[in-house]
Amino acid sequence: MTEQRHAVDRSSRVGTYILRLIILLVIWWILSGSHSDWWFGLPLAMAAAAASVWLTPPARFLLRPHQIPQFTGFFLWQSLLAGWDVARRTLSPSLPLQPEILRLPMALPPGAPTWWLMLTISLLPGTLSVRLDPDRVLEVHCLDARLDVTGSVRETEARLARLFGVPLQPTEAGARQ
Amino acid sequence: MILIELLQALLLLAGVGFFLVGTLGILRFPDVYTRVHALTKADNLGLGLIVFGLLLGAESVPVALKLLLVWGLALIASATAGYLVARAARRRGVRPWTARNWENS
Repeated sequence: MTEQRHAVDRSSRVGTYILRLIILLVIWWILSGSHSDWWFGLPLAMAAAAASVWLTPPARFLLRPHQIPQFTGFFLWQSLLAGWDVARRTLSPSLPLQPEILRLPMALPPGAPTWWLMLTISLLPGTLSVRLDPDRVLEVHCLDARLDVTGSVRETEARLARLFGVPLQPTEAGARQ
Repeated sequence: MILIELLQALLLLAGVGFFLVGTLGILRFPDVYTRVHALTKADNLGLGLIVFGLLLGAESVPVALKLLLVWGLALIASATAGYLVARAARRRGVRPWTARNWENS
């Protein structure tokens, strides 16, 4: 049993190494442009990939490539709305703000999906991740409590669940502090 | 070609405008949490518009990808930094500004 698990672990380490090596080589190609010095870039990418596997163990969650365009579109559109919303509030003489901190139980599994959610909602209109409690309740600061913050966080959560191909754990409705 | 250059100019100017608004937000918004909102969101959009404007004039694929890489890394950095600032403020017990406090003071 343990031997088998060990074997699976090792093969996923090799797979992770190769995947990260490819990503780093692409980044090297992007950074160095048309005159890529591979004699320097290749060993560097190999060393960096080894260090990354050593420091950050293989991820348990992988993005589903066919879901990436849809999520990217959602993210870009929401970024546009968020920037517009905050600009409108900043430039309005009356400074229309009604901030509040909401406590929302997380429905995504811990690890990468939760991290992505926290980073994404900080860039969505009117929401900012403040703190993740050990009992997996996320404190979200919102610029305007009149907006449907819970709804937009839940939508982002559902989209991330599709992106990572993970199930959402049922949670009770977000409780106000 | 002139149309593309015009579009580029518009995107770059709009991008700079959002950076300006983000900075104005730091000055106008009442507490650390709302200021982080202004900075992260306005700068994300500002940088995105500038990157998009420059993409229209990118002369090669690596240059275009480099611009996208810059935007992606800046996004991750600003969202992470914003979260860390907000969390540090929360841990120190900085109370969020509310509309009610404002009326009382």
